[in-house]
Amino acid sequence: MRRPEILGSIVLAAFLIMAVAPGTFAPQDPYTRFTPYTPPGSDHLLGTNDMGHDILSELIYGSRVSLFVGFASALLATMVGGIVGIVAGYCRGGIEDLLMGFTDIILMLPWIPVIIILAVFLGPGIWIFILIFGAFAWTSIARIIRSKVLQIRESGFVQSARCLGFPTWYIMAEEIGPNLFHIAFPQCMLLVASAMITEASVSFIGLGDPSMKSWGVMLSFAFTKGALINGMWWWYLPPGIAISICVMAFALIGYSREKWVNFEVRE
Amino acid sequence: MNRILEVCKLSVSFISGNEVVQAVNNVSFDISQGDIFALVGETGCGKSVIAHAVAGLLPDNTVISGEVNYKGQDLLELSQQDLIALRGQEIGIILQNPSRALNPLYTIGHQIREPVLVHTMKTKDRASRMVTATLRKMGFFDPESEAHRYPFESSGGMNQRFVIATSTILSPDLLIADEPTTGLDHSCIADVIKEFERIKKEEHCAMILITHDLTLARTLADRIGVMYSGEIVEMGECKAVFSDTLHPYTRGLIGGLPENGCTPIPGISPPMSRRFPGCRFHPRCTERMPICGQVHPRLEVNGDRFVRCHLCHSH
Amino acid sequence: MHITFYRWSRYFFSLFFTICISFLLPRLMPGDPIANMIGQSAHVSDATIIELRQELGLDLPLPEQFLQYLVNIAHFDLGYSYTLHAPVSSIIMERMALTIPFVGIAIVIGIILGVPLGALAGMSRSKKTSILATYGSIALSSAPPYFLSLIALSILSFNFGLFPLKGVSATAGIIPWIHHLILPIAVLSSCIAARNCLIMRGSVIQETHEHYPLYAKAKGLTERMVLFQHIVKNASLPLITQVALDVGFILSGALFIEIVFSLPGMGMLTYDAVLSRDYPILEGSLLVIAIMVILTNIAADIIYGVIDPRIRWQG
Ligand SMILES: Nc1ncnc2c1ncn2[C@@H]1O[C@H](COP(=O)(O)OP(=O)(O)O)[C@@H](O)[C@H]1O
Ligand SMILES: [Mg+2]
Repeated sequence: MRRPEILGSIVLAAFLIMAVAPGTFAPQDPYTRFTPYTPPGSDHLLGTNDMGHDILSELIYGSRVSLFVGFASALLATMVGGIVGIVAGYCRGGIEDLLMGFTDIILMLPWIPVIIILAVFLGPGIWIFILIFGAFAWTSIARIIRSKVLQIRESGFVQSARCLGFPTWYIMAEEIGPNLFHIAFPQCMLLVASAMITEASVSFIGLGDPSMKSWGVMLSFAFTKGALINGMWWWYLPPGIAISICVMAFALIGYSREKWVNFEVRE
Repeated sequence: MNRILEVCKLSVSFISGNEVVQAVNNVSFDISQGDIFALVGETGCGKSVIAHAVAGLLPDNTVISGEVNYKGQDLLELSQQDLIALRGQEIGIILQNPSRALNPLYTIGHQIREPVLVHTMKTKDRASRMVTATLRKMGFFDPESEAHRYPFESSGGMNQRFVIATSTILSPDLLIADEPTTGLDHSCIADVIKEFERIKKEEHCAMILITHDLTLARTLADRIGVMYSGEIVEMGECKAVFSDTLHPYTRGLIGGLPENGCTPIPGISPPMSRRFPGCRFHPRCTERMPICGQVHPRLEVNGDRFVRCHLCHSH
Repeated sequence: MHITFYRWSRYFFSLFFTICISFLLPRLMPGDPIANMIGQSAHVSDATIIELRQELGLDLPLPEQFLQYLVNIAHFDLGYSYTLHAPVSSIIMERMALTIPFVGIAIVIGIILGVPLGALAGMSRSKKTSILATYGSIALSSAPPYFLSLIALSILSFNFGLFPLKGVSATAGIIPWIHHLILPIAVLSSCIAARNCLIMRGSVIQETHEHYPLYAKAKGLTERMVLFQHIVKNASLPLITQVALDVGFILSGALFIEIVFSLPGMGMLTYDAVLSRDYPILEGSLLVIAIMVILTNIAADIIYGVIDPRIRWQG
């Protein structure tokens, strides 16, 4: 493993532990009300917000929502992209043309406005976000996986498996699948990063799920309730910094596996 | 005779990770004005590395020792600036694989005139006229339209001639041609050979001709050096080497020519990263003696002939 | 024209797909379609609703409604906002007058900054500045653009009072306009520059494995000339494609930045429409943004063909 990847993994592990057991780390219950607008101090390390909620505790509980949305959307997108890519690369011919043409079309759709409209119609909720993200963000994975599948299917072991008479779907599942993991993985990490940024953006304009306070929702509340104008930096900085660090951890893991980024100084 | 280039005890190794690849080992040769020196040997024996070392084109992860004296100055000691001033003007190099040496996005004319623009104060117009003149001299009927084409519109053979034009447009004193005929079809090879014969006659430059095609070396070269696994194993006048071959490896190469029945040398050359005692060639040698596996043979000098083989030492 | 039939059909279907989405959404969503069409908080009398139902053709079968919808779009009729009491197309036009220059300038600055930085970082990867540029770019692209805007606003405007806190009015002159836009443009263009830097760096690294940079060096070009006269041109091809595909994200990012800086562009329009559930505006925005993305992709195709002769000659 390279240094950026190790750094990213450590940071990510810290966030994951927080997300799994927020109760052990959070100093307070996130819904207990204290004196509103308290600046950071010994009672509340990161102060309180307008409702008197402890911001550090909110932040720790928020990691669960943000990470869950990020992972779930990215996994869904990776799955859709993987299936499209594998089918297109394996079947070739008309099916490939059709699927890749469709991919090229979806690639150009501005899906953040689509998410916004759907969230407005259906009401805010993380599941809608996950579904729409999965439905639109799979294109890059599909393209990469297709070209890899084209490469693999011409290689020796797939040819020999076919000669031994294994059925097509069996070869696809058994032989191609595992080979694709190492190219799908970095892409999936980058998708988590992108999903988290998108979720934070959509939440920012008030379309986040208010019953599940993600970091984006926290930022949105801070902004609409005038944290900026009143100089309450402890209210809007922590969730934003948390998003940025977490996204960067995913990006470092993803990029350091990508050949084109080429983190190594010497080849 | 006027010595243009003297290569003395040149060694080159590449460091990648914790592996050291000794690609060129203790190579010495020299070239005089108007001479063509051929370096022959199987693929991977370090010929291109020598060419790149002379032109200063090796990547950063290389360790180079020895001397490369060009007209009395050591190119390995030269500053980047002085080297840049020499490259393309006094030292021309033709790289392996002409189609990839040309940038696909620029016209042929643009790429041929680049050395003129960087080395002389000529305007673009005059440089372009120089390109046209050079191409006409090379036998192109319509140099102007040729110069407006892109590399992908021409065949490999044509592109090779464009590369030759680029490398010789400023009449260099030393021309290094790395596998100029590899990958070309027969008619193109004939064209390229004619080109080199013309250059030899008209330009009087010294030339290093790198090739694994013995016939080409025999047709063009005055002197020839045979390389095996990073070392020169035999060197001398071209005629002498072909008529009175001393090293078993050279004999093997000559035996591999079509007129001699295409008998290849058995086995493959050892990886450059592996060092072992004795002659580098002994695992594949048919005339191997016990000493060949123990002692690395010296390069023996006999007048103008050099050979690195225990067989000849015992004579 | 060098844009192939495949690419034209791709643009056509992309547009068609977006139109279908914005046609079907209000009709398929739960609730009264008429409410879905005019927005929830718009106060419209019952009589008008009956009239509207007729006018929008909601009683007709879906295919006929779709035809009517297409005809309307062809006449730039994107519906009527009952919240803002104006036709959607004219409202969007008015707001675009801010958003297009904003995003356009930011993209240009982002390219001017990001491309050379990425090129240098890719060429000399071990330099401290290159490593700094790489990690800096990753860090910058990890923060949501609107969060960067919040920080910039709080530090530069709130603490130091260098820039205005509130948005620009439409009637203000050019000087206040620039004053209000400096900070948003700085934020958006650094996000774009960071992404371009990363893409360019990777692309340059790939090009350095080609042969033409080495040959350019052999002609006597300096390292910098090889980079900026050869590699950058070839390496910018993937960048052009990527920037065009990114335009959707750049526009969306710009929307959020506009909200933070309360600039009266498409972003504020969307934000207000979200708050007041003004569906016609949201759908119109979606359509307009999709059309902008398609137009940029067509422009990118044209630029790509201008740079790459291989595409241009394909016919
Ligand atoms: N940049 C490099 N890094 C590591 N090894 C190299 C490099 N360039 C060449 N080599 C090694 O040097 C040896 C000689 O290569 P080369 O001179 O290209 O052979 P050839 O005689 O076919 O031209 C090869 O074994 C190759 O692996
Ligand atoms: Mg070679």
